[in-house]
Amino acid sequence: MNRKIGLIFLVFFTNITQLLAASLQLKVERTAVSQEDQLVVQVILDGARNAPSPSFPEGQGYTVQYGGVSQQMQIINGRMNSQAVFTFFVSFDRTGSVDLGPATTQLDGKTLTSNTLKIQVLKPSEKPPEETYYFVESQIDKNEAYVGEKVLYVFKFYNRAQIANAELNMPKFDGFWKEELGKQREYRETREGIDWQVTEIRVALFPNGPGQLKIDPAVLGLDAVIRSQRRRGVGSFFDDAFFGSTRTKRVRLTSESFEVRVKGLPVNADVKTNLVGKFEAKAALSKTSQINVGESLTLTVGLSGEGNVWDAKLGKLSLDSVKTYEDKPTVEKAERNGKLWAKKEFKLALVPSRGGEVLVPSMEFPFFNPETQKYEVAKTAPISIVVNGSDGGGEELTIVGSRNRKKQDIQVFGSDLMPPMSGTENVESKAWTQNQVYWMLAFNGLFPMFYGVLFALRRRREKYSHDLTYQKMSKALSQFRRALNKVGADTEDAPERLAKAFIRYLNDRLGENLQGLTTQEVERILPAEKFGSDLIAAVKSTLSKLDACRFGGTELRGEELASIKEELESNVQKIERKAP
Amino acid sequence: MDIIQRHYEALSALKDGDFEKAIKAYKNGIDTSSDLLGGAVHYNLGILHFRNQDLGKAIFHFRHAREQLPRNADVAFNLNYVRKQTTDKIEVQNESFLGKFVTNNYPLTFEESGILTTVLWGTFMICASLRLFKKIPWLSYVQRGLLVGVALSAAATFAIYTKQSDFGVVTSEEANVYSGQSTKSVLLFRLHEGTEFTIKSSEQDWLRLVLADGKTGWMHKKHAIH
Repeated sequence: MNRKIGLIFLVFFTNITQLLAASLQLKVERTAVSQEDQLVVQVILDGARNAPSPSFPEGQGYTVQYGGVSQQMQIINGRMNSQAVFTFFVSFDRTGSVDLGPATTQLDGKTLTSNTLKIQVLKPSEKPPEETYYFVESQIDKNEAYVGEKVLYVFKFYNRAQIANAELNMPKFDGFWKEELGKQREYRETREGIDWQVTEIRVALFPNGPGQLKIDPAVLGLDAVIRSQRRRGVGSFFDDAFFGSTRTKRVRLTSESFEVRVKGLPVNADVKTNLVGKFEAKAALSKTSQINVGESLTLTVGLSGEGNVWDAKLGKLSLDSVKTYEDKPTVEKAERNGKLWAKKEFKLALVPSRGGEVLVPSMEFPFFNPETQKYEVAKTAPISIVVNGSDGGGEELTIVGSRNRKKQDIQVFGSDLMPPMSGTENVESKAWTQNQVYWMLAFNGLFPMFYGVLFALRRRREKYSHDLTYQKMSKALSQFRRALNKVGADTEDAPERLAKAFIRYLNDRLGENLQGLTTQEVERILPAEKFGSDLIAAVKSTLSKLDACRFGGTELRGEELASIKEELESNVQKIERKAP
Repeated sequence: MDIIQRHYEALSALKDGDFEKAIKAYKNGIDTSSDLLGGAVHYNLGILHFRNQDLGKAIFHFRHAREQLPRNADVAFNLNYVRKQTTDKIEVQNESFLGKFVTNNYPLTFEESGILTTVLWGTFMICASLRLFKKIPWLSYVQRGLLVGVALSAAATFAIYTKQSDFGVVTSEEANVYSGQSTKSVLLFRLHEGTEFTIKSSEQDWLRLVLADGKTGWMHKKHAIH
């Protein structure tokens, strides 16, 4: 319930306040039109919604046709705004310059009157001038200034087209100290009935010295998307970019250049300053104006206003029995209502060394005020400080519990060595003998050796895991011996098993893959220059014996078996010694 | 008689104010510059020599005491105290950062520093060995840290070794330093009791010394303890 009442009150209250600020405005999209075309005119009623359709004066060389109304309510930044937009189609009866409007309407018994627009009506055969969709403008607030006086430079970009890749080159402002006044501003502006999106950049300039200073033009480059020339006749619907053709054009817009005559400050023998503007000075203490001897307090002197405050300097402040320590001054700048406001603060730590009253005198900052064309002075008010403590060398007050006592050197009456050590803990030397040092060095050498062993192991393992031949080679001997041990006196196919075991050993150990071994193959896999002819002969002999038993059906038993096993073992040992 | 018994004997003599007897008790056939004496013995000998007006020997023993007890505040105090009693003013020149650190702030003895280096070195090699068989990404950072530690502690150990190996202190009230091993050589400068120096070489009765400010020359051994 309360919410409903609140809403009604809000709407009612809004209507009353907006009625007071209601206005009527004519807007067109172009100011030059062919006589055979109709001009779309919008009459905007701001601040109210329910008003009768506006009317235009008759007999002015044009005919008006009502096209409807749209109403809208917007809340912008918490502020409610009502608006009614009346659309008219205007046909012109004659060519030449025609004054359109003013449109009028009645609102709560009051007559609201709009602006008048000058429309250029062209003959049907005449080509309409190219419409302007963007332009730049720059201005300065004065062409003549004193050294250090602020000159305001404003650059504006007016646009009603779709743009991209904008690149702005501002002037260098040679001969000026420049301060940008806040970020760029963007707003809408209606000029001769046409709505423009405006981007504005403001720069405060302070001439460094007298003379004729030139401000170069600002240059703005951009890609503009331009709709092709309008179709003849009425119909904003088909003028939409979706239906109409567009083209992108790289344009370069240049603003005006200016010249500023900079004058030196008027000569005044009594005043020496380079501050120009309007300033005020203030001084304040960080604490109460009563302190104890030896305590410090901060004196802040601030000079603020419009102008080159950063050039201000604080004169020497000498106070009796007070030590002063100057801190680095700070400068603060801000934009206030489109003007550059600046403040410079000087901070001084004051430490009184004697009790009594200390008077911080007024501090003066002379400056030239260009408005009054006179030298003026910004002054701080004098400040009195009461210092508690001794006054002129008397005894200082003793304050019980106070931590602010004066430090003094310790009175030394004598000096001596520290006493002897009576314990037995460090009586015996723990120093290493030379031998112990060598042992320690040797011990340190063990670590790299240990690492070396592990490194070799890893290499071996890597090689083992990747190289099947190597695996076979390393296992060949053990496998052969296992096979040899399995052959006993009661083994029926002992020659077969022994021959196979030996051939497998040779294959594995020498990286071969042979099913049987002929004499030629034995000579090939056991080259004489490496293994020796004796070994080759022995191997051949052993193999022949085994083959004879295998294929001849002779059994190997007892001493014969032991003998041939010994031969095999002997051959293998010789091969192991000579094989890679 | 072992060193503990002699220590008690010396303390007893010291209590009675008989410094000579206390010093003799500690010496008792052993060279007092020997490595066999512990830090406490050197410290007490420093006190005894100082009480006995032997400033040079006092400094010598306090320096040895500090080598063995680098974290003992009393040793540091007494060494500073006796150094203030010396006459010669010597500006230290061109001493490396490591040298200064080892001289003034390093809290370990040569032996402790050696063990630390060994432990760090061993840990570094164990990490390296582990990395041979297993990829542990963070272990490489540990290894780098350990390597830096090894380098620093090894450098400090070496610096201690060189510093404590050969130093001497002037024990005579005045000692002339010559350009050669003879009193007939050019007299270069004169030192006073308590001045410390580094021994570069020793030949027969002469020591080739270098002062902290770079001055160098030959001094007869009878003027110094080393």
